[in-house]
Amino acid sequence: MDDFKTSVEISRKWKSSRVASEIIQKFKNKNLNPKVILLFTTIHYEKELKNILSSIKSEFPKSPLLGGTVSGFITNEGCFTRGVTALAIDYPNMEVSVAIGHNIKRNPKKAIDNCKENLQIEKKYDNNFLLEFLPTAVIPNIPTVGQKVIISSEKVGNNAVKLLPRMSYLNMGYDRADEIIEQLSQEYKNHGIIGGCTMDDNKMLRSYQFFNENFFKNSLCILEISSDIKYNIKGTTAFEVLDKGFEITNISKDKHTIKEINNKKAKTTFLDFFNWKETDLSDLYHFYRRIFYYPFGFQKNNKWHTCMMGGLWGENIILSVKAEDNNMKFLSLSTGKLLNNTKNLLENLNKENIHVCFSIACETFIETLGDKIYSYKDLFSNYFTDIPYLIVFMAGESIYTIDEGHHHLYESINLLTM
Amino acid sequence: MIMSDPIASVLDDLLKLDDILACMVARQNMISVMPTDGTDSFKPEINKIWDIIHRAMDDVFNVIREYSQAGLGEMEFRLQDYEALFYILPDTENALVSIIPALANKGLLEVEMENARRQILDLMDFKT
Repeated sequence: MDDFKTSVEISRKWKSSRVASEIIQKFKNKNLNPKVILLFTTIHYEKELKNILSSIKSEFPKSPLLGGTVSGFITNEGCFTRGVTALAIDYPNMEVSVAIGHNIKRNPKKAIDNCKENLQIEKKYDNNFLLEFLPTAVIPNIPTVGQKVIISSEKVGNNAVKLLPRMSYLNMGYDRADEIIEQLSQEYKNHGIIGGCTMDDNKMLRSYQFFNENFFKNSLCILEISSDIKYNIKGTTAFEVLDKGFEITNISKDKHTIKEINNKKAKTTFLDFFNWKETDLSDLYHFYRRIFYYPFGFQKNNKWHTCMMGGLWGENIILSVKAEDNNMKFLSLSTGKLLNNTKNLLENLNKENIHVCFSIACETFIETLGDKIYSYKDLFSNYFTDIPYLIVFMAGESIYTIDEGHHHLYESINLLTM
Repeated sequence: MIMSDPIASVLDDLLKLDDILACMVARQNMISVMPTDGTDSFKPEINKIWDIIHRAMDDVFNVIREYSQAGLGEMEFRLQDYEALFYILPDTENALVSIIPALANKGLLEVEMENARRQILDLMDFKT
Protein backbone atom coordinates (compact mmCIF):
# COMPACT_ATOMS: atom_id res chain seq x y z
CA MET A 1 0.00 0.00 0.00
CA ASP A 2 2.18 2.80 -1.36
CA ASP A 3 -0.08 5.66 -0.33
CA PHE A 4 0.10 4.77 3.38
CA LYS A 5 2.94 6.83 4.80
CA THR A 6 3.94 6.76 8.43
CA SER A 7 6.89 7.72 10.53
CA VAL A 8 8.01 7.51 14.15
CA GLU A 9 10.58 10.13 15.09
CA ILE A 10 12.42 11.16 18.23
CA SER A 11 14.25 14.21 19.51
CA ARG A 12 16.76 14.23 22.32
CA LYS A 13 17.38 17.97 22.22
CA TRP A 14 16.54 19.91 25.36
CA LYS A 15 15.29 23.25 24.02
CA SER A 16 11.73 23.38 22.71
CA SER A 17 12.67 25.17 19.50
CA ARG A 18 15.26 22.54 18.62
CA VAL A 19 12.96 19.66 19.58
CA ALA A 20 10.14 20.98 17.40
CA SER A 21 12.34 21.81 14.43
CA GLU A 22 14.00 18.38 14.55
CA ILE A 23 10.66 16.54 14.58
CA ILE A 24 9.21 18.79 11.87
CA GLN A 25 12.26 18.36 9.66
CA LYS A 26 12.24 14.60 10.02
CA PHE A 27 8.56 14.44 8.98
CA LYS A 28 9.24 16.76 6.04
CA ASN A 29 12.20 14.65 4.93
CA LYS A 30 9.74 11.79 4.54
CA ASN A 31 7.29 13.96 2.59
CA LEU A 32 4.61 13.52 5.22
CA ASN A 33 1.50 15.61 5.32
CA PRO A 34 0.14 14.02 8.51
CA LYS A 35 -3.52 13.20 8.89
CA VAL A 36 -2.76 12.83 12.57
CA ILE A 37 0.20 13.25 14.92
CA LEU A 38 0.68 11.44 18.22
CA LEU A 39 3.23 13.20 20.41
CA PHE A 40 4.70 12.07 23.71
CA THR A 41 7.34 13.60 25.95
CA THR A 42 8.91 12.67 29.23
CA ILE A 43 8.19 14.98 32.15
CA HIS A 44 11.58 16.68 31.70
CA TYR A 45 9.96 18.80 28.97
CA GLU A 46 7.27 20.18 31.25
CA LYS A 47 8.43 23.77 30.81
CA GLU A 48 8.93 23.37 27.05
CA LEU A 49 5.51 21.91 26.22
CA LYS A 50 3.85 25.13 25.12
CA ASN A 51 6.52 25.90 22.53
CA ILE A 52 6.92 22.32 21.32
CA LEU A 53 3.19 21.90 20.72
CA SER A 54 2.61 25.32 19.17
CA SER A 55 5.63 25.00 16.86
CA ILE A 56 4.58 21.60 15.54
CA LYS A 57 0.95 22.68 15.17
CA SER A 58 1.89 25.86 13.33
CA GLU A 59 3.86 23.77 10.84
CA PHE A 60 1.06 21.20 10.46
CA PRO A 61 -2.08 23.26 11.21
CA LYS A 62 -4.47 20.75 9.64
CA SER A 63 -3.04 17.76 11.50
CA PRO A 64 -4.82 16.95 14.77
CA LEU A 65 -2.28 16.33 17.53
CA LEU A 66 -2.84 14.18 20.58
CA GLY A 67 -0.64 12.69 23.28
CA GLY A 68 0.79 13.34 26.69
CA THR A 69 3.61 12.84 29.13
CA VAL A 70 4.99 9.32 29.58
CA SER A 71 7.75 7.75 31.63
CA GLY A 72 9.60 6.53 28.57
CA PHE A 73 9.31 5.09 25.09
CA ILE A 74 10.81 2.65 22.64
CA THR A 75 11.04 3.25 18.92
CA ASN A 76 13.01 1.63 16.11
CA GLU A 77 15.84 3.98 17.18
CA GLY A 78 16.21 2.96 20.82
CA CYS A 79 14.84 3.07 24.36
CA PHE A 80 14.51 6.38 26.15
CA THR A 81 13.38 7.72 29.51
CA ARG A 82 14.18 11.28 28.50
CA GLY A 83 13.10 12.75 25.21
CA VAL A 84 10.28 13.47 22.79
CA THR A 85 8.72 11.15 20.23
CA ALA A 86 6.08 11.60 17.56
CA LEU A 87 4.18 9.25 15.29
CA ALA A 88 2.58 10.61 12.14
CA ILE A 89 0.25 8.91 9.67
CA ASP A 90 -0.49 10.20 6.20
CA TYR A 91 -3.05 8.19 4.28
CA PRO A 92 -5.86 9.37 1.97
CA ASN A 93 -8.46 6.72 2.84
CA MET A 94 -8.57 7.65 6.48
CA GLU A 95 -10.67 10.11 8.44
CA VAL A 96 -9.74 11.35 11.88
CA SER A 97 -11.44 13.34 14.58
CA VAL A 98 -10.22 14.47 17.98
CA ALA A 99 -12.12 15.65 21.03
CA ILE A 100 -11.43 16.69 24.59
CA GLY A 101 -13.41 16.55 27.80
CA HIS A 102 -12.25 18.38 30.91
CA ASN A 103 -12.43 17.72 34.67
CA ILE A 104 -12.16 14.00 34.09
CA LYS A 105 -11.76 13.08 37.75
CA ARG A 106 -14.62 15.24 38.88
CA ASN A 107 -17.13 14.10 36.28
CA PRO A 108 -15.96 11.44 33.84
CA LYS A 109 -19.39 10.98 32.29
CA LYS A 110 -19.63 14.65 31.39
CA ALA A 111 -16.14 14.56 29.92
CA ILE A 112 -17.08 11.58 27.75
CA ASP A 113 -20.32 13.26 26.67
CA ASN A 114 -18.34 16.33 25.61
CA CYS A 115 -15.97 14.15 23.63
CA LYS A 116 -18.81 12.29 21.99
CA GLU A 117 -20.41 15.54 20.83
CA ASN A 118 -17.19 16.65 19.19
CA LEU A 119 -16.04 13.41 17.64
CA GLN A 120 -17.45 13.81 14.17
CA ILE A 121 -16.34 11.80 11.20
CA GLU A 122 -18.44 12.41 8.10
CA LYS A 123 -17.22 9.61 5.91
CA LYS A 124 -17.08 6.38 7.84
CA TYR A 125 -15.04 3.44 6.65
CA ASP A 126 -15.43 -0.11 7.91
CA ASN A 127 -12.56 -0.02 10.38
CA ASN A 128 -12.99 2.29 13.35
CA PHE A 129 -11.06 2.64 16.55
CA LEU A 130 -10.35 5.09 19.36
CA LEU A 131 -7.24 6.08 21.24
CA GLU A 132 -7.82 7.71 24.62
CA PHE A 133 -5.41 9.48 26.97
CA LEU A 134 -6.21 10.72 30.44
CA PRO A 135 -4.24 11.66 33.55
CA THR A 136 -3.10 9.04 35.99
CA ALA A 137 -3.82 9.23 39.69
CA VAL A 138 -2.16 12.16 41.35
CA ILE A 139 -1.26 11.90 45.02
CA PRO A 140 -3.49 14.45 46.73
CA ASN A 141 -1.84 17.34 48.47
CA ILE A 142 -3.24 17.14 52.00
CA PRO A 143 -2.84 20.28 54.10
CA THR A 144 -0.07 19.86 56.73
CA VAL A 145 0.74 16.38 55.31
CA GLY A 146 1.77 17.17 51.74
CA GLN A 147 1.80 14.78 48.75
CA LYS A 148 2.64 11.46 50.38
CA VAL A 149 2.12 7.86 49.25
CA ILE A 150 2.82 6.63 52.76
CA ILE A 151 1.41 8.12 55.94
CA SER A 152 2.72 6.09 58.87
CA SER A 153 0.54 7.66 61.56
CA GLU A 154 -2.76 5.78 61.86
CA LYS A 155 -4.56 8.85 63.11
CA VAL A 156 -3.28 11.18 60.37
CA GLY A 157 -3.78 8.47 57.74
CA ASN A 158 -7.36 7.80 58.78
CA ASN A 159 -8.14 11.52 58.73
CA ALA A 160 -6.54 11.88 55.30
CA VAL A 161 -8.68 9.02 53.96
CA LYS A 162 -11.81 10.91 54.98
CA LEU A 163 -10.79 13.65 52.53
CA LEU A 164 -10.44 11.25 49.58
CA PRO A 165 -14.05 11.42 48.30
CA ARG A 166 -13.71 15.19 48.07
CA MET A 167 -10.45 14.95 46.14
CA SER A 168 -12.16 14.06 42.88
CA TYR A 169 -13.97 17.41 43.01
CA LEU A 170 -10.55 19.03 43.07
CA ASN A 171 -9.47 16.86 40.13
CA MET A 172 -7.02 14.93 42.29
CA GLY A 173 -6.88 11.33 43.45
CA TYR A 174 -7.82 8.22 41.43
CA ASP A 175 -7.53 8.28 37.65
CA ARG A 176 -11.03 6.75 37.13
CA ALA A 177 -9.66 5.11 33.99
CA ASP A 178 -11.62 1.93 34.76
CA GLU A 179 -14.85 3.91 34.65
CA ILE A 180 -13.81 5.71 31.46
CA ILE A 181 -13.08 2.56 29.46
CA GLU A 182 -16.30 0.99 30.66
CA GLN A 183 -18.37 3.98 29.52
CA LEU A 184 -16.48 4.41 26.26
CA SER A 185 -16.98 0.75 25.42
CA GLN A 186 -20.72 1.20 25.89
CA GLU A 187 -20.81 4.33 23.72
CA TYR A 188 -18.59 2.90 20.98
CA LYS A 189 -19.51 -0.76 20.98
CA ASN A 190 -18.23 -1.43 17.46
CA HIS A 191 -14.91 0.36 17.86
CA GLY A 192 -11.71 -1.08 19.19
CA ILE A 193 -10.18 1.09 21.92
CA ILE A 194 -6.79 1.36 23.53
CA GLY A 195 -5.81 4.01 26.02
CA GLY A 196 -3.40 4.95 28.72
CA CYS A 197 -2.82 7.25 31.63
CA THR A 198 -0.32 10.06 31.21
CA MET A 199 2.29 10.30 33.94
CA ASP A 200 5.55 11.79 35.16
CA ASP A 201 8.66 9.81 36.14
CA ASN A 202 6.52 7.74 38.50
CA LYS A 203 6.59 10.27 41.31
CA MET A 204 2.87 10.57 40.63
CA LEU A 205 2.87 14.30 41.25
CA ARG A 206 1.58 15.59 37.91
CA SER A 207 1.03 14.68 34.26
CA TYR A 208 -0.14 16.38 31.08
CA GLN A 209 -2.41 15.55 28.15
CA PHE A 210 -1.74 17.14 24.77
CA PHE A 211 -4.54 18.36 22.55
CA ASN A 212 -3.42 20.22 19.44
CA GLU A 213 -1.36 23.23 20.58
CA ASN A 214 -2.60 23.04 24.17
CA PHE A 215 -1.82 20.87 27.16
CA PHE A 216 -3.98 20.08 30.16
CA LYS A 217 -3.73 18.42 33.56
CA ASN A 218 -7.14 16.82 33.97
CA SER A 219 -8.57 16.08 30.57
CA LEU A 220 -9.65 13.14 28.50
CA CYS A 221 -8.28 13.35 24.96
CA ILE A 222 -9.74 11.03 22.33
CA LEU A 223 -8.75 10.31 18.76
CA GLU A 224 -11.14 8.49 16.46
CA ILE A 225 -9.77 6.93 13.29
CA SER A 226 -11.85 5.50 10.49
CA SER A 227 -10.09 3.93 7.52
CA ASP A 228 -10.23 1.23 4.90
CA ILE A 229 -7.24 -0.47 6.52
CA LYS A 230 -7.95 -3.26 8.95
CA TYR A 231 -6.55 -2.77 12.41
CA ASN A 232 -5.79 -5.25 15.14
CA ILE A 233 -5.82 -4.73 18.91
CA LYS A 234 -4.15 -7.33 21.09
CA GLY A 235 -2.78 -7.31 24.61
CA THR A 236 -1.11 -9.39 27.24
CA THR A 237 -0.05 -9.21 30.85
CA ALA A 238 3.20 -10.22 32.51
CA PHE A 239 2.44 -11.79 35.83
CA GLU A 240 2.02 -15.20 37.39
CA VAL A 241 -1.02 -15.82 39.58
CA LEU A 242 0.13 -17.13 42.97
CA ASP A 243 -1.81 -19.50 45.23
CA LYS A 244 -1.74 -17.12 48.17
CA GLY A 245 -4.45 -14.53 48.58
CA PHE A 246 -6.72 -12.76 51.04
CA GLU A 247 -10.26 -11.59 51.51
CA ILE A 248 -11.23 -7.96 51.76
CA THR A 249 -13.58 -7.77 54.74
CA ASN A 250 -14.04 -4.00 55.02
CA ILE A 251 -13.82 -1.61 52.08
CA SER A 252 -15.03 1.92 51.42
CA LYS A 253 -18.26 2.48 49.53
CA ASP A 254 -16.40 3.53 46.38
CA LYS A 255 -14.30 0.31 46.61
CA HIS A 256 -11.02 2.24 46.51
CA THR A 257 -9.96 2.08 50.17
CA ILE A 258 -9.36 -1.28 51.87
CA LYS A 259 -9.80 -0.94 55.62
CA GLU A 260 -9.64 -4.58 56.70
CA ILE A 261 -8.41 -7.78 55.17
CA ASN A 262 -9.15 -11.17 56.74
CA ASN A 263 -11.02 -9.21 59.44
CA LYS A 264 -7.82 -7.50 60.59
CA LYS A 265 -6.26 -4.08 60.08
CA ALA A 266 -5.40 -3.84 56.39
CA LYS A 267 -1.87 -2.43 56.32
CA THR A 268 -0.49 -4.40 59.27
CA THR A 269 -1.94 -7.66 57.94
CA PHE A 270 -0.63 -6.88 54.50
CA LEU A 271 2.90 -6.16 55.78
CA ASP A 272 2.76 -9.45 57.70
CA PHE A 273 2.31 -11.34 54.43
CA PHE A 274 5.83 -10.20 53.57
CA ASN A 275 7.19 -10.44 57.14
CA TRP A 276 7.81 -6.73 56.94
CA LYS A 277 8.16 -4.49 59.96
CA GLU A 278 7.30 -0.84 59.74
CA THR A 279 10.53 0.47 61.17
CA ASP A 280 11.82 3.02 58.76
CA LEU A 281 9.98 5.26 56.36
CA SER A 282 12.55 4.95 53.58
CA ASP A 283 12.45 1.16 53.77
CA LEU A 284 8.69 1.37 53.73
CA TYR A 285 9.06 3.43 50.58
CA HIS A 286 11.08 0.61 49.05
CA PHE A 287 8.43 -1.84 50.17
CA TYR A 288 5.87 0.27 48.39
CA ARG A 289 7.94 0.12 45.19
CA ARG A 290 8.33 -3.66 45.56
CA ILE A 291 4.57 -3.99 45.62
CA PHE A 292 4.69 -3.21 41.91
CA TYR A 293 6.24 -6.66 41.53
CA TYR A 294 3.88 -8.47 43.90
CA PRO A 295 0.54 -6.78 43.34
CA PHE A 296 -2.75 -8.40 44.12
CA GLY A 297 -5.76 -8.63 41.90
CA PHE A 298 -8.97 -10.27 40.84
CA GLN A 299 -10.25 -12.05 37.77
CA LYS A 300 -12.86 -10.48 35.52
CA ASN A 301 -13.97 -11.79 32.13
CA ASN A 302 -11.05 -14.21 32.03
CA LYS A 303 -8.46 -11.49 32.61
CA TRP A 304 -6.58 -10.85 35.83
CA HIS A 305 -6.87 -7.24 36.91
CA THR A 306 -4.20 -5.86 39.19
CA CYS A 307 -5.32 -3.59 42.02
CA MET A 308 -2.32 -1.30 42.09
CA MET A 309 -1.74 0.33 45.46
CA GLY A 310 -1.80 4.10 45.32
CA GLY A 311 -0.82 4.61 48.92
CA LEU A 312 -0.67 3.33 52.46
CA TRP A 313 -2.39 5.87 54.65
CA GLY A 314 -2.53 4.84 58.27
CA GLU A 315 -4.03 1.35 58.29
CA ASN A 316 -5.73 1.91 54.94
CA ILE A 317 -4.62 0.57 51.58
CA ILE A 318 -5.61 2.99 48.83
CA LEU A 319 -6.25 1.41 45.43
CA SER A 320 -5.93 3.15 42.08
CA VAL A 321 -8.89 1.17 40.70
CA LYS A 322 -12.04 -0.25 42.23
CA ALA A 323 -11.68 -3.64 43.90
CA GLU A 324 -14.47 -5.33 41.98
CA ASP A 325 -14.11 -8.56 43.94
CA ASN A 326 -13.38 -9.15 47.62
CA ASN A 327 -11.33 -12.27 46.95
CA MET A 328 -7.84 -11.25 45.95
CA LYS A 329 -4.89 -13.31 44.78
CA PHE A 330 -1.27 -12.24 44.90
CA LEU A 331 0.33 -11.84 41.52
CA SER A 332 3.99 -11.86 40.66
CA LEU A 333 5.46 -9.75 37.89
CA SER A 334 7.87 -11.89 35.93
CA THR A 335 10.28 -10.50 33.37
CA GLY A 336 10.50 -13.98 31.83
CA LYS A 337 6.75 -14.01 31.41
CA LEU A 338 6.84 -10.47 30.00
CA LEU A 339 9.36 -11.46 27.35
CA ASN A 340 7.61 -14.73 26.48
CA ASN A 341 4.09 -13.30 26.41
CA THR A 342 5.17 -10.33 24.29
CA LYS A 343 7.01 -12.64 21.91
CA ASN A 344 3.89 -14.80 21.56
CA LEU A 345 1.77 -11.69 21.06
CA LEU A 346 4.01 -10.52 18.22
CA GLU A 347 4.23 -13.95 16.61
CA ASN A 348 0.46 -14.17 16.44
CA LEU A 349 0.17 -10.96 14.42
CA ASN A 350 -0.25 -11.14 10.69
CA LYS A 351 2.85 -9.20 9.74
CA GLU A 352 2.04 -8.93 6.05
CA ASN A 353 -0.75 -6.45 6.64
CA ILE A 354 1.01 -4.24 9.18
CA HIS A 355 2.20 -0.75 8.28
CA VAL A 356 2.68 0.68 11.76
CA CYS A 357 2.47 -0.44 15.38
CA PHE A 358 1.49 1.77 18.30
CA SER A 359 1.62 0.25 21.74
CA ILE A 360 0.89 1.28 25.31
CA ALA A 361 2.77 -0.60 28.02
CA CYS A 362 3.03 -0.39 31.77
CA GLU A 363 5.66 1.90 33.27
CA THR A 364 6.67 -0.89 35.63
CA PHE A 365 8.18 -2.78 32.68
CA ILE A 366 10.72 -0.10 31.84
CA GLU A 367 11.38 0.67 35.51
CA THR A 368 11.98 -3.01 36.25
CA LEU A 369 14.09 -3.82 33.24
CA GLY A 370 16.16 -0.63 33.49
CA ASP A 371 19.04 -0.84 31.02
CA LYS A 372 17.92 -4.38 30.10
CA ILE A 373 14.94 -2.79 28.34
CA TYR A 374 17.04 -3.17 25.20
CA SER A 375 16.39 -6.94 25.38
CA TYR A 376 12.68 -6.13 25.26
CA LYS A 377 13.22 -3.80 22.33
CA ASP A 378 14.98 -6.62 20.47
CA LEU A 379 11.68 -8.54 20.37
CA PHE A 380 10.09 -5.68 18.44
CA SER A 381 13.13 -4.93 16.30
CA ASN A 382 13.38 -8.56 15.26
CA TYR A 383 9.73 -8.68 14.37
CA PHE A 384 9.15 -5.22 12.90
CA THR A 385 12.34 -5.10 10.88
CA ASP A 386 11.20 -2.34 8.55
CA ILE A 387 7.92 -1.31 10.15
CA PRO A 388 7.84 1.85 12.29
CA TYR A 389 6.77 1.17 15.86
CA LEU A 390 6.29 3.18 19.03
CA ILE A 391 5.79 1.82 22.54
CA VAL A 392 4.96 4.37 25.20
CA PHE A 393 5.15 3.52 28.90
CA MET A 394 2.20 4.82 30.88
CA ALA A 395 0.53 4.40 34.27
CA GLY A 396 -2.37 2.11 33.44
CA GLU A 397 -3.48 0.59 30.15
CA SER A 398 -7.05 0.37 28.88
CA ILE A 399 -8.29 -1.95 26.17
CA TYR A 400 -11.62 -2.76 24.60
CA THR A 401 -12.43 -5.20 21.84
CA ILE A 402 -15.76 -6.72 20.93
CA ASP A 403 -14.36 -10.17 21.64
CA GLU A 404 -12.64 -9.50 24.96
CA GLY A 405 -14.70 -6.69 26.47
CA HIS A 406 -13.35 -3.68 28.35
CA HIS A 407 -10.47 -3.78 30.81
CA HIS A 408 -8.32 -1.27 32.62
CA LEU A 409 -5.12 -3.06 33.48
CA TYR A 410 -1.71 -2.56 35.00
CA GLU A 411 1.42 -4.50 34.10
CA SER A 412 0.08 -5.11 30.64
CA ILE A 413 0.97 -4.20 27.07
CA ASN A 414 -1.58 -3.48 24.38
CA LEU A 415 -0.70 -3.33 20.70
CA LEU A 416 -2.56 -1.53 17.96
CA THR A 417 -1.42 -2.40 14.48
CA MET A 418 -2.77 -1.19 11.16
CA MET B 1 43.59 8.19 29.14
CA ILE B 2 40.34 9.21 27.47
CA MET B 3 40.09 12.90 26.75
CA SER B 4 37.23 13.94 24.55
CA ASP B 5 34.83 16.87 24.50
CA PRO B 6 32.03 14.82 22.92
CA ILE B 7 32.18 12.44 25.88
CA ALA B 8 32.00 15.40 28.25
CA SER B 9 28.86 16.47 26.37
CA VAL B 10 27.32 13.05 26.99
CA LEU B 11 28.05 13.55 30.70
CA ASP B 12 26.59 17.07 30.56
CA ASP B 13 23.36 15.59 29.19
CA LEU B 14 23.19 13.01 31.98
CA LEU B 15 23.76 15.65 34.63
CA LYS B 16 20.72 17.56 33.44
CA LEU B 17 18.56 14.80 34.92
CA ASP B 18 17.55 15.89 38.42
CA ASP B 19 18.53 12.63 40.09
CA ILE B 20 21.99 12.36 38.55
CA LEU B 21 23.96 14.18 41.24
CA ALA B 22 27.38 13.55 39.72
CA CYS B 23 28.74 11.57 36.79
CA MET B 24 32.07 10.88 35.16
CA VAL B 25 34.08 8.34 33.21
CA ALA B 26 36.67 6.95 35.60
CA ARG B 27 39.13 4.17 36.29
CA GLN B 28 41.08 3.26 39.39
CA ASN B 29 42.74 6.30 40.97
CA MET B 30 41.85 8.44 38.00
CA ILE B 31 38.90 10.35 36.65
CA SER B 32 39.23 10.05 32.87
CA VAL B 33 36.51 12.43 31.70
CA MET B 34 34.51 14.94 33.71
CA PRO B 35 31.49 16.98 32.58
CA THR B 36 32.41 20.22 30.83
CA ASP B 37 32.33 22.29 34.02
CA GLY B 38 34.10 19.66 36.11
CA THR B 39 32.94 19.14 39.66
CA ASP B 40 31.29 22.57 39.58
CA SER B 41 28.46 21.02 37.59
CA PHE B 42 27.78 18.37 40.25
CA LYS B 43 24.67 18.96 42.35
CA PRO B 44 25.69 20.73 45.60
CA GLU B 45 24.31 18.00 47.88
CA ILE B 46 27.04 15.64 46.66
CA ASN B 47 29.75 17.78 48.28
CA LYS B 48 29.06 16.51 51.79
CA ILE B 49 29.65 12.90 50.76
CA TRP B 50 32.00 13.23 47.79
CA ASP B 51 35.25 12.34 49.61
CA ILE B 52 33.97 9.07 51.06
CA ILE B 53 32.21 8.10 47.83
CA HIS B 54 35.35 8.83 45.86
CA ARG B 55 37.38 6.55 48.16
CA ALA B 56 34.77 3.78 47.93
CA MET B 57 34.78 4.12 44.14
CA ASP B 58 38.48 3.35 44.04
CA ASP B 59 37.86 0.12 45.92
CA VAL B 60 35.15 -0.85 43.45
CA PHE B 61 37.57 -0.25 40.60
CA ASN B 62 39.76 -3.02 42.05
CA VAL B 63 36.95 -5.41 41.25
CA ILE B 64 36.28 -3.82 37.88
CA ARG B 65 39.95 -4.12 36.91
CA GLU B 66 39.90 -7.78 37.96
CA TYR B 67 36.72 -8.80 36.18
CA SER B 68 36.06 -6.40 33.29
CA GLN B 69 37.80 -8.77 30.88
CA ALA B 70 35.56 -11.57 32.17
CA GLY B 71 32.46 -9.69 31.11
CA LEU B 72 31.57 -7.69 34.22
CA GLY B 73 28.92 -5.27 32.99
CA GLU B 74 27.63 -3.21 35.88
CA MET B 75 28.26 -2.68 39.58
CA GLU B 76 26.65 -0.55 42.22
CA PHE B 77 26.92 0.25 45.89
CA ARG B 78 24.78 2.12 48.36
CA LEU B 79 26.45 4.47 50.82
CA GLN B 80 24.28 6.33 53.30
CA ASP B 81 21.49 7.95 51.25
CA TYR B 82 23.23 7.62 47.90
CA GLU B 83 23.97 4.98 45.31
CA ALA B 84 26.88 4.80 42.90
CA LEU B 85 26.20 3.06 39.57
CA PHE B 86 29.12 1.78 37.50
CA TYR B 87 28.55 0.97 33.82
CA ILE B 88 31.74 -0.66 32.65
CA LEU B 89 33.05 0.19 29.20
CA PRO B 90 33.94 -3.24 27.77
CA ASP B 91 37.58 -4.01 27.09
CA THR B 92 38.74 -1.08 29.17
CA GLU B 93 39.14 -0.62 32.90
CA ASN B 94 36.96 2.47 32.65
CA ALA B 95 33.39 2.85 33.77
CA LEU B 96 30.69 5.43 33.40
CA VAL B 97 29.87 6.34 37.00
CA SER B 98 26.80 8.14 38.33
CA ILE B 99 25.86 9.05 41.87
CA ILE B 100 22.12 9.11 42.51
CA PRO B 101 19.88 9.45 45.59
CA ALA B 102 19.08 6.05 47.10
CA LEU B 103 15.36 6.75 46.69
CA ALA B 104 15.59 7.75 43.02
CA ASN B 105 13.72 5.81 40.37
CA LYS B 106 16.79 3.82 39.44
CA GLY B 107 15.17 1.82 36.64
CA LEU B 108 14.37 4.89 34.59
CA LEU B 109 17.84 6.34 35.20
CA GLU B 110 19.47 3.07 34.14
CA VAL B 111 17.94 3.41 30.68
CA GLU B 112 19.65 6.75 30.20
CA MET B 113 22.88 5.42 31.74
CA GLU B 114 22.83 2.66 29.13
CA ASN B 115 22.19 5.20 26.36
CA ALA B 116 25.14 7.25 27.63
CA ARG B 117 27.37 4.16 27.74
CA ARG B 118 26.41 3.31 24.14
CA GLN B 119 27.12 6.88 23.03
CA ILE B 120 30.50 6.84 24.76
CA LEU B 121 31.42 3.51 23.17
CA ASP B 122 30.44 4.88 19.75
CA LEU B 123 32.63 7.92 20.36
CA MET B 124 35.54 5.75 21.49
CA ASP B 125 35.17 3.58 18.37
CA PHE B 126 35.18 6.70 16.26
CA LYS B 127 38.38 7.92 17.94
CA THR B 128 40.20 4.68 17.29
